Amino acid sequence: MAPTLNPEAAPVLLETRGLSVNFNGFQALSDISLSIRQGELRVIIGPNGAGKTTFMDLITAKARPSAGQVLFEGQDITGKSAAEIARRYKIGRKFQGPNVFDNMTVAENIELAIAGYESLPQSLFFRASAAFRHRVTEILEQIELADYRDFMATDLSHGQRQWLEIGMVFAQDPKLIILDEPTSGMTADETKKTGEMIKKLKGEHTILVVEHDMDFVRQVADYVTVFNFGKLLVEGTLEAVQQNPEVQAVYLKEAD
Amino acid sequence: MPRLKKVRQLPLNRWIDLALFLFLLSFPTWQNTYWVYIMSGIMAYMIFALSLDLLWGYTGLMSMGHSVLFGSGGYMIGIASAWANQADWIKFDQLPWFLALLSSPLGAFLAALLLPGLIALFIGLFMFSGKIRGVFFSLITLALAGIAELFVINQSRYTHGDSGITVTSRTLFSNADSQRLTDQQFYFVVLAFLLGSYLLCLWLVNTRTGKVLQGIRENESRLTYLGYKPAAFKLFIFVLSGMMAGLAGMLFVRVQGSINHSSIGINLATLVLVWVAVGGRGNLTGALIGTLLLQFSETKLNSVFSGISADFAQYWKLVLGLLLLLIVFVIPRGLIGVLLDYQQSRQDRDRKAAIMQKEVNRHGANP
Repeated sequence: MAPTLNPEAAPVLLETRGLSVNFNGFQALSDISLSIRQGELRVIIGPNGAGKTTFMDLITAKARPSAGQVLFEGQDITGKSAAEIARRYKIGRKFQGPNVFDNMTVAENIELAIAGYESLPQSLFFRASAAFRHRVTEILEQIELADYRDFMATDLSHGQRQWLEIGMVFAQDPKLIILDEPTSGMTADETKKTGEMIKKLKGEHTILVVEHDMDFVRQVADYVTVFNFGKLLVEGTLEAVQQNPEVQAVYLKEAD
Repeated sequence: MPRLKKVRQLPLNRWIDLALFLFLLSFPTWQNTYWVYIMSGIMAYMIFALSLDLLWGYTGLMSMGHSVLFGSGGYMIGIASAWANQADWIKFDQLPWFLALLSSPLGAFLAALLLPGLIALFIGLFMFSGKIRGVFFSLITLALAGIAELFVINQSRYTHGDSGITVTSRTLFSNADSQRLTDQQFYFVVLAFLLGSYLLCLWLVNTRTGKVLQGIRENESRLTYLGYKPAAFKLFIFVLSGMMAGLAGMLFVRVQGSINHSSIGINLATLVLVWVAVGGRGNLTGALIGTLLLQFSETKLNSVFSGISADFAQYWKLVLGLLLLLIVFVIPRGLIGVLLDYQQSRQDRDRKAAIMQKEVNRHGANP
């Protein structure tokens, strides 16, 4: 097992203060304050409709909070555009359900995701260097798709498409990696491989994962946050959280 | 050997492009002047179809009023020529300030490129900053084609209204009556522009920008979360496509020797959609082949059937409509699309076999 980082030692990378959002009268999230330290792998769990995905939407500017702040490296990023959050603050997100460029090859998907050439002139006069091509191959090997580089993304299996999107997030070289249900629809074998992919990044990258699959959570997580009905229920190590009677009542029982 | 492998991996349609250009290059040597003249017009239309393929096939922006850009380029040359030759319907002594550029031949050439570019810029700024996309983009462009048609009919002071403008100078720059290239000579002018436009498109779609454009077509919001700003790319391709359409319009007017409102309106806007849809979107070849096939058959069939019925043009539209329906239902990716799908599936089969073989070898090595 990778050495666990002392959560108190590293500086805080992402912090939310009193984050709330209201969709036409429905309080999807209320008063979420949590912080994630550099190098941490944090898993958010909670039953359906607990507001996990909404929380990620607020961080990546897919939705706007009705109250509260998102701080990244101490800077307030609430209200910034999605492109700016991806490019300037380097937060990469994998969406729920594979969200890739279907009628483009696997390699093209990864190439587009590699950061640093997002403006029009940059992309117009871009020429792939040997280092760039090497990086593409490296990522493809990381997500076990090296043999599939010339396939269209649409022709991959569901699990492989999930990996492809995970690879796209790696390619962005983000400071914070957000993975929304990375193993949904995967076979047990694929789920295990995904867990290994993510564990390899532990320590070097800061990762925030939302997940339903408890086997997967046990495999990767050491620090867990539980959401329920849009509120932060409890935080702690996986062992401590599993012991918590409140958590057992709302979530773990029905998931297992 | 890797070079040879690269050639073999080349998409099939690039060979078709090569064959097509060789065919076009040799065409005047074995065809009479009439067909050389017809083919010049078709080649101008091919540039127009390429410009739509960049926008629709690659970027996923289905412009249903692309003729606005084609026609505005064409009308610039039309008005410049009418002015230079003092056509009898011209009632003004001086070009108004907004047409002043048309007094010089080079100015008219530039105006035919810049006006469509500017129109595309303004429409694009309005639509892409307002996040108008999908079917709304199509409907607004369609409406613009209708408006443009009425506009040129109503502005008869400058456009000669319903009757359109006759252009007698067939040269690259000059609008004066006296200078005129032969049909053969002008054929090669159009061919050179077609080749240039094709190479520009081929280069562009293979750059990273080209991939971003395809990314917009496939999944625009995903691009945003990768840090791109799709609006800038859409504006760029719309303006470039508009200028190419303007170039096509300018060449077409010089070949045809006239322009009227149907070249700026819904009629041509629909035709070009059919050419690209039948040939196949998003591979350049489809736009070229679709235009060639349909325009060639129209001319050929017209000459065959005109003896039987004077209303052939009406029936041809019916045939086109049925053909479009058939294509959409049977081969939605178009003729060239089917060919490319076939090549892709064969290559996939080989790759899958290679992957299986690799698995077998690995398990064989450590049982």
